[in-house]
Amino acid sequence: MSLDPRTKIVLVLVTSVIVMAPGGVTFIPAALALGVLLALGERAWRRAVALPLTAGAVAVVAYLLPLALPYPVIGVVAAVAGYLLRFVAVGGVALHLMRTTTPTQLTAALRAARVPRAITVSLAVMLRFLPAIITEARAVHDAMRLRGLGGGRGLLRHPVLGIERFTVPLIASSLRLADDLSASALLRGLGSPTRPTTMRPPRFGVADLAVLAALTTTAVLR
Amino acid sequence: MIELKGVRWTYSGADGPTLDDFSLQVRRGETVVLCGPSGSGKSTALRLMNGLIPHFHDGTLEGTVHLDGQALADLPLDQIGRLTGTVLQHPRRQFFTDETETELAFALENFGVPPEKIRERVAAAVDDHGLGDLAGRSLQRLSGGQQQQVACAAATVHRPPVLLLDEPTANLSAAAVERFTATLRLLRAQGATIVIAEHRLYHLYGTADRFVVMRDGRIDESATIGDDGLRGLARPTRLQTPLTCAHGPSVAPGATAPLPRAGLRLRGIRCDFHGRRVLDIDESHLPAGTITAVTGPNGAGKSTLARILTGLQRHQGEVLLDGRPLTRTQRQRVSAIVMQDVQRQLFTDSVEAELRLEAGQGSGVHEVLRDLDLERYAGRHPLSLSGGQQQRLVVAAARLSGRRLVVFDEPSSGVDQRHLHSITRVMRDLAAEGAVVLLISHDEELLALAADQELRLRRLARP
Amino acid sequence: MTVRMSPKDLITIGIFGALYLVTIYAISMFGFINPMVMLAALVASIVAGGIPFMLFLTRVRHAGMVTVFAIITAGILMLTGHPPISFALTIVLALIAEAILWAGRYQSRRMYVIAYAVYSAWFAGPLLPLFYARDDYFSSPSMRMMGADYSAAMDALLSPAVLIAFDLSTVVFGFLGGLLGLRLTRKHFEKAGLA
Repeated sequence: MSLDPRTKIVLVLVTSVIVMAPGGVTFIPAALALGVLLALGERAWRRAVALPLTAGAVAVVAYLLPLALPYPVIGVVAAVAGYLLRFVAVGGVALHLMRTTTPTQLTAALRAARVPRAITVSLAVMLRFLPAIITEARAVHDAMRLRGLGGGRGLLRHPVLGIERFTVPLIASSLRLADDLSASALLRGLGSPTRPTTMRPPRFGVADLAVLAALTTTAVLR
Repeated sequence: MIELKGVRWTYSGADGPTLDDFSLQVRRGETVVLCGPSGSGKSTALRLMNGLIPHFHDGTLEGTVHLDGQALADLPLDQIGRLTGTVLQHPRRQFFTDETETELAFALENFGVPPEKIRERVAAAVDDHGLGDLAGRSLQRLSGGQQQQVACAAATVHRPPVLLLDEPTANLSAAAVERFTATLRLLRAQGATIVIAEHRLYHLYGTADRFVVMRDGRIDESATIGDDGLRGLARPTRLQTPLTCAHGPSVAPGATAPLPRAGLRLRGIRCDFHGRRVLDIDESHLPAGTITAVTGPNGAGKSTLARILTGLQRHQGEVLLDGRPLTRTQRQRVSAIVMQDVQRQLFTDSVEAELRLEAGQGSGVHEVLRDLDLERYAGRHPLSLSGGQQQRLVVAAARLSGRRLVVFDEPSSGVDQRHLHSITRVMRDLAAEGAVVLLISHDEELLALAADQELRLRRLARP
Repeated sequence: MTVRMSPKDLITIGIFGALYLVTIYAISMFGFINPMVMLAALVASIVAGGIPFMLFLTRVRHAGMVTVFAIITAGILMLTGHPPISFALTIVLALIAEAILWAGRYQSRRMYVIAYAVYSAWFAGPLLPLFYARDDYFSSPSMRMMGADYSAAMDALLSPAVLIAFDLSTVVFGFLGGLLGLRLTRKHFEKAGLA
């Protein structure tokens, strides 16, 4: 089973709106079940097991721990865990979107959904850049460690200097990469006034119709 | 086809013009090579031809550039893009998508070509450039040569009449250079007008119509190929470098040099990424006082080996220095590395401060600056230097670090003949002081100059 | 959007959006060393975010760029599970920041700092449901077993006053981050020709 990226986006947003709203707690089990179903659909067996287990563990901290240890400090931890549970529930659905959609597909989907060009183009660039900058951040961290500048301890002792020595090389080397990418993308017409096309436009299938119908029914019944 | 007349260009913030009174004519279907020492303005000349100057880079421009009779200053960048295909020095950095087919489609999609037509053109390009085997593989994991092939195909898929290449072979192995030359001949036969900026010249002999030598921002009519500062036309010949004593699945088989006394010793080094083994060396000795070249195809684990030895990467097995096993943290303290992208390791606001960070108030700073031709820049901000100067600065810092293990990861990209020698001298000095020097490189010229012995790695067979 | 943004502007937004997200996350990763450092790391990441943001503002020359920046960064966070209210908050803050920048004619460095301070209030966004949806939690069967004292103590801890105090502190740290970003822009990026 594979869904159209647009359907996946709608699933994440609807789940998030419902679960994060006041009274959303009652929908957490349903959201978790959806997350497990999606994981099964993409054959991510490990996630299908890990998701309910994680949610169970967080729920124990949120609801059972304060009964055993009735202190305000534990209370704060438990309340945060109660909120975290909502994150886990939405996260299960979001992970499906992230793991099954390439940046190229996501951009094509948003383009097909008539999202303005300013947003699709800058989002595409950001998604292209995130992994490259993460690689840069790791390399800067490596270089700091070899120079004896690195690690969390250095950041604690001289927070401002630590931030400076991490961010300045990160930004400088990333912008260097960015120059090449921007030049090449501009020359290949990114963001040009011509209306772009897509080699393989996304198409709604039967599965998408089923999911959207189910969503609408849920929303109406709620 | 291309006509530059009396061009003078100054990058904003630069001290002086990069190009001055530069004129060049390229006829339709001609293949022209721009060569010259680093900083002579080769890349800048290409940027004039694809309109990145003045549309992308900031600065002041005098003179005119015409492409097929149209003034480039008046055309928007995407229009120029339809007429030109550009391959920049690092193909890996210019990919916009994660896979061959989508990358080939990128320009066509942005130019609004209908979907059926895109699929047709992409399939044709895959055929022309022999990219069939690469379908579905992550672009970032391809070898440098394969990335170069994809970049060439992606730059020409919309069939522009002009192709511009910036140091296309800077990071390629000898075999990949040959494949690249074949691609070039194909595009030339299809009628493209081609301009190439290049340090290495031997592979272009016989393919190019004309070599143009640049010096200090203008064309040097008097220069001949093979002058000082240019890398020659002859294919570099490397004498048989003795192989390092090593064995294991990751090591190419061959004769081994005799056992060293001092230095690094590796035992049972294994490393996995996401459950897949990427490096597997049963045993190896990297002697002190010697420059050991680490060679092998992309994905053979060269960089992983460097990260393991310098203590940056978790692994199985042990690493001994002069017979004493060292933990990862201990190795981090005795190691220095010159990375491929050196901006990642420039932390301070002046060249001198950068070296003081390494050497304290210790002596030697000025000598090293002079050796590496950086003395003039002592007070400059490291980020304001050119790529080659930054590279030499990080080499200088490594020279002063007093570490026992110093790794040079591809230190020669964008470096001309003269500085190739000065970097080699630094490696020699470090070795003479008893350091273990590792040189990761594809550059046959540098290897011929510097390598005392060679640890040749190979890709592990997939289980 | 009334002003047409050039392709180069859009690429700039994308690049700095990515830099901003990575900077914030990388710095807050240091917080995973131990929980005591976690709060300090959150503070550090608000401050560190000021550095790419300030550099971004030096390249902003007309209206809409900060808003698009907010839409894509907050949008991607929303698609990874952040609450929609946080997205809405970020957009509102971005519009205020736009107004501040416009008042400074996109040139005033003082206005840059204030704009980042205001924008930093979004850091409270992901925690908002903890406050507005707290009745869900306190009305659960297990909480009703806890007794009145406990409930009162928790009520005080998760009160609007605490939320406002938290939000104000993010603005203060955002202000400091803006100042640091400005200083480093002068010290490094201007000399490197990046600003």
